[in-house]
Amino acid sequence: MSATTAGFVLPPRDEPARRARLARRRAGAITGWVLCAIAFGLLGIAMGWILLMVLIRGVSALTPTVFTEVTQGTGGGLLNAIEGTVVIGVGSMLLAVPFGVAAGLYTAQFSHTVFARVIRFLADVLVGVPSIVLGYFGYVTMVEYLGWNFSLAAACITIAILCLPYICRTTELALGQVPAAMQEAAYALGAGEARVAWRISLPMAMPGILTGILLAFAISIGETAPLLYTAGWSSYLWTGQLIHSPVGYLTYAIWAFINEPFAAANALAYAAAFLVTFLVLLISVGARLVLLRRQGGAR
Amino acid sequence: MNVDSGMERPGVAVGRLSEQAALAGPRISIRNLNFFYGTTQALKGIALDLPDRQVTGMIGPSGCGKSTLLRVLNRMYDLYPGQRAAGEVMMDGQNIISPDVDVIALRARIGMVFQKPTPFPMSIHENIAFGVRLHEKLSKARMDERVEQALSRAALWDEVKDRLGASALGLSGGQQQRLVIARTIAIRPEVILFDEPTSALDPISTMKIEELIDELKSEFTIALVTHNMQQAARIADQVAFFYLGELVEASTAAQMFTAPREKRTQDYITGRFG
Repeated sequence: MSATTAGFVLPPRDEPARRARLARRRAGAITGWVLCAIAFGLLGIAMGWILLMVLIRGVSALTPTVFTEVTQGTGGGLLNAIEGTVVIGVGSMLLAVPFGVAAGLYTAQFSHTVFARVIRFLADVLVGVPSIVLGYFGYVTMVEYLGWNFSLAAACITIAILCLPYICRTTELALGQVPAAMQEAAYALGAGEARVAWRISLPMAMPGILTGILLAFAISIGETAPLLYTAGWSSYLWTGQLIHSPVGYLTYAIWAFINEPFAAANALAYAAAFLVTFLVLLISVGARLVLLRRQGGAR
Repeated sequence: MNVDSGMERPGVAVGRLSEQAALAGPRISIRNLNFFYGTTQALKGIALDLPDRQVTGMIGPSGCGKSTLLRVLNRMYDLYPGQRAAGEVMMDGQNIISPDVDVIALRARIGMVFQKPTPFPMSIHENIAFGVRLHEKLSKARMDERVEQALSRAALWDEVKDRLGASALGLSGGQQQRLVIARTIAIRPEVILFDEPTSALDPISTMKIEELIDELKSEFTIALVTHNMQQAARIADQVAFFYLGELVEASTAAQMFTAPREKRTQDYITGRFG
């Protein structure tokens, strides 16, 4: 069968070739789906296994004493570590957020300048530096050279350096998604650069920036290696001192107590693992919710 | 249809073309204006007057330079390095594009409304106060008064007077566009630039905006970029046709849509290309 349209003749349909093409396409699609399913299964099994193990062993190890008492040798509770993790997390965010958001704002606003490119490059490099190297850097500079010993200040500054690039880049990305027309509309009213950034760009990018900060907070809670070098470990509650006084934290309890030959120590490790996982999960879900709300709000 | 004869009447809704008065004296005079995006020339030797308190409609196919011309008039191109204008854009004896013009003061005199509504992420009241506060210090009572005036002028007051504190993002697209217009007139400009203000709106909202623009010209000089020739015919006093960065022809709307001088204009408004 041939169809005549506007004076030219369509070639007759080659049915077998068409069918072969369709079959090839279908085979490709099925292969893709199967590979996706396998990858998803592998990840799901690994993650499910970890979560299940932490959940089962952790929940059974969660006793009231975990929350009410400090660590005694390899037993007791985790109150000191819970408090330390929260204090280090909050403290490092207090340092990292202003610098990170400011740097992100700068790189977004002046994205083509040489200085912005340098900041972006350094942030990318910093993301790639192993956290234990940052820990060692903190140890050499603050703990040793400045003589702060194992301390909250050294820990917070080190973790803040670790989180800085994440906050900087997510801030820049979030600002980059603010429609240019919105900023132009403010400029068209006669607004200056600072006011446009402060009143238009930052509020519109806020959900994205908050998400970045929450994820950085989650990272700060889950870090171990840099803290071993900077916070040390303490079985006591935080003294309120910034320097000369080591701090306890949950990830240390996991790292140190899991290999002890005592059931009580192992139980504490699992309790700590459960608390860290639970906290990070909670923060990640919180970040998702913030993002969802933004997508719901931006019409 | 024999387009070459020049006798055909293009099929554009004529509307109120017949009641066309003569054009007023110029509020802004553009002479020999050239504009460059980097090395690409987007405007070539433009000469055009914007008549005082009348609407100048700018038409032409995409990329012909009409939006670029708007962005020259309020110096929006200043935001982007590599964009450059040369020539004369005279307003009150001053060349707008000269580097020593205070851009912020200029933008208070020449407002702009964009294609997509751009409500700021603030309350309705604050959207308008934001712009006013950039240029004037008003007491709360006077600011409230100014906000009401602007919203009334933009035919939005009755719809929002009970929720001035609510987020502007909750308004419909047409309401948002009228809010943006209110925000623009609240700072009392002399000229308002509209860059395809209705292309993202439904027909009823479009009609309301058109009525509003027609209303506003009693007070403001208006430049309107549009892809919609019926719209130009309905609300423009003067129409300018741009093609490939050149101003092909500018005349009263009546002349433009009934007896264009240039063949290219004729071809465009009859839908031959573009």
